[in-house]
Amino acid sequence: MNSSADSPTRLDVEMVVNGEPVRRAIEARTLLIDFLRTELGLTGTHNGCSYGVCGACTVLVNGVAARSCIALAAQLDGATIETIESVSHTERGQEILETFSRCRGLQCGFCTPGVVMTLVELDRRIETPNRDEIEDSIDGHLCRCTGYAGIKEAVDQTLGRVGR
Amino acid sequence: MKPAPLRLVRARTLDDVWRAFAESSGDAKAIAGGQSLVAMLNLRLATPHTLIDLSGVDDLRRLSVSPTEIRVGAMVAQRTAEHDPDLRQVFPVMSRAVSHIGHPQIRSRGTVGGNVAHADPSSELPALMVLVDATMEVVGPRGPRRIPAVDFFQGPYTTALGDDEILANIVIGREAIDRHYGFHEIARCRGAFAMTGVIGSIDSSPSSVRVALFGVAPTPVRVELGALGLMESWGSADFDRALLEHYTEVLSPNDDFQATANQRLSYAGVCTKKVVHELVG
Ligand code: FES
Ligand code: FES
Repeated sequence: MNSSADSPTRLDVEMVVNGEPVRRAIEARTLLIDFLRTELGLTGTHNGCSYGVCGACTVLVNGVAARSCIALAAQLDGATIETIESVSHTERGQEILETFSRCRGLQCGFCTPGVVMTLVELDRRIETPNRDEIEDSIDGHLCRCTGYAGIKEAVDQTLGRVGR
Repeated sequence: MKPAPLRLVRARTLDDVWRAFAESSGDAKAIAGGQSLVAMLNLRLATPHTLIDLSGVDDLRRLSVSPTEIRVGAMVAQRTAEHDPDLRQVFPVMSRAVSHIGHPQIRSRGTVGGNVAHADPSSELPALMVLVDATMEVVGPRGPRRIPAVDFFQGPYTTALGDDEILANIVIGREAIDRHYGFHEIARCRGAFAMTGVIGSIDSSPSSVRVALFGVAPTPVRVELGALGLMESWGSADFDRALLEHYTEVLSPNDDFQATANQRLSYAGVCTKKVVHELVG
């Protein structure tokens, strides 16, 4: 697995994933989502559509929400990645997860890891995101279960500062 | 879904890019943020033998903004263009247009140059480029070329770029920076591809109003509303009639799953009126 054989078809990548440095030689065509799920066993990130429309696969790349299904892992050499698995590691993250559950922001949970990662990014911003930015961000996620009301409630309660 | 096997060359310099093009026997494609291309790879709509990754080429990532000239490196992230304080102040229409591309989670990796070079007929930035007479600075192994936006877009997903050339910078000049802008698009929902959109500009008098439309033809269409005399009837029913007549002539909208050609034609009128209203009241 870890043999270094950098060539255009098989490339070395190094990333920091959820705080841990990882290094692998991967096929050039490997998507970030498959890197996370298959290479690293981080199956919390979900694959809903594989072409960038549903948001289930959203993770943070260098602190910013991005679709892992339309990112080639080999393009992200040196990047810092955060996935849903890291969220419960912090107190703030746990609060966010509890808010989701309390507000019924999820039912089947398929879309949830992506929505939560988008929210983690918004929540970390120093400047309060405005209503428009929040809606634009949440619009980047499809949910077949909740009808979005619970998600919006969880987002509003988490950000807590909306409307100011 | 995943891409078919491919080669990926991670370029650090433009020389790396030319070398990779030269070694690839014609079936290489440059990849920027990949927000359209990787989706196409996953769907196997694109199966290039080699991808040349531009994300490590620092020369393509510069953004410089002054009141007389704006230069946007092709690899500037859309989110950067959207939020850059100088760009927002000097040329806010660009940030506004960019904010309509997909969602924030797409704009984080999507690049300005990638969007422009993809030349999607329903995309905002190509229309803005045509409206403002932007210059496309193209580089290739035979040296640089400067291509006016109007010649750059040649058809759906088709540009004047040669097989081994890439877009390096977009340059917007003073005349465009000094104008005022309006923007309106109609999409099924936020973040969806626009069915039709219009960006317009004015300098001082209504006779200077011009618009560029997207989603209604294979490439962006620029219309000189002022110079054509259409603005003289602004505010009356004659304007609507003359506009529809002109648009029927110069636009060539398509039917697709989102809207019929006729709907698009009427959306073009609606968007235009909203934009002109924003420009002249
Ligand atoms: S799986 Fe990535 S957006 Fe749907
Ligand atoms: S909770 Fe089931 S898709 Fe969102």
